[in-house]
Amino acid sequence: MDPLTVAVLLLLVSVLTGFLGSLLGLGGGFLLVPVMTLALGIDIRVAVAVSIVAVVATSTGSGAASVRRGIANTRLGMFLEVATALGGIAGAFVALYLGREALLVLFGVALLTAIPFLLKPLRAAPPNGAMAAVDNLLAPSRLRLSGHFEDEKGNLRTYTVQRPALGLSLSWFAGVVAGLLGIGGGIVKVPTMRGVMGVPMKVAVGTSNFMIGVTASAAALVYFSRGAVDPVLAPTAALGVVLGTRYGARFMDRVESRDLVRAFAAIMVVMALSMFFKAAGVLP
Amino acid sequence: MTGPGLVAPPLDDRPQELEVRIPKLLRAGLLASSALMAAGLVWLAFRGAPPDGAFDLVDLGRLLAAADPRGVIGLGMLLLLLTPLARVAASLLYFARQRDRLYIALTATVLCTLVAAVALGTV
Repeated sequence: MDPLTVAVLLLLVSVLTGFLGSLLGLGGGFLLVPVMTLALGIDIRVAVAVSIVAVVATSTGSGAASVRRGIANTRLGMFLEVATALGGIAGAFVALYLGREALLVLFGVALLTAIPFLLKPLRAAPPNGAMAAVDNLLAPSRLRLSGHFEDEKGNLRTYTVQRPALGLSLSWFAGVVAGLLGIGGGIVKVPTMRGVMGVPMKVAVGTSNFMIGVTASAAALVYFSRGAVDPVLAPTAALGVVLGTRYGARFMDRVESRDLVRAFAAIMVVMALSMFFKAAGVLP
Repeated sequence: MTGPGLVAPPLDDRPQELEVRIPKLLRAGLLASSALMAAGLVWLAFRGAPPDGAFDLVDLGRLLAAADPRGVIGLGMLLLLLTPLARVAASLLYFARQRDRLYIALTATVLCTLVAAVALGTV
């Protein structure tokens, strides 16, 4: 395909992935990278750098919305960002030195690993878990992480945050995955905040949206200053995904997202297998 | 000091003023960078010259000086990538005014990390 055709197709594809991504509650990256590599024939090393720039763009919009709606715990976000930003840089550096096949396999593995978390979100961690009482240095009360939010019925609900040290470690891993694969990493952040730190689902998603900008930009700045970001494909994808996310958010309440998630899980399996085949040279 | 997990009532220490400012800042950054990227892409398409691959931070100034559309695109992308950094810097200033030592340290660390990302990338 000539470069202009690829750019035009990418614009269409990224509008679509932004749209689908916001319906599914996923950032654009998890869809964008496989579509770019499998359908448009773009090298995954280029696709990852393009995607991480697009992720910064979408998360800037969704992060702003989450803070405005009061569902992002900004203190918690700023605390965990210490780890996700460092992880993002580490992930980007590893990716710069990895070969095409290794990245394809890692992305495929990430897709398969994410499926159970998508289908069945973790239960909220019970309050006052073991580590909360022991962990004196990173005590949640000292970090002032507890918060409140309005639930679906408009009731004010308060919550306390547990296990900040473990949450911080897992957030570093979330950053590595984000920087390495060009995704937002919400797929690690949300289960960490909910399943380990006991943050309500709505707040975990909002806080993840808030944090992704910093995580992704830490990685994207490495790619960008290294000259690894394609100057046509990256802005095209960024504009497309932002546009798509905007429309997706309007439809969000109108579709039954459980069915959509199940359908998407099946697509993720196909994408993962295709990436393995591509790495093995079975697929072009 | 309250004992961890023992007394701590679920008090909400939300930095409210900051939470009004952050969405405005993020939206402004996204809008300005999108406009630059879109303008650069349209310019590039009309000029018809095929872009010759990626460029790094050092090339950006040269491209801008030469009135190359890729310079405008690059500036837009840089602005986009620096928007989260600006959010962290604004938070740092807010916590500095509040004399919130812990969150000064946390946001300063994140800010240094992001600056290091650029510095490490150009090495």
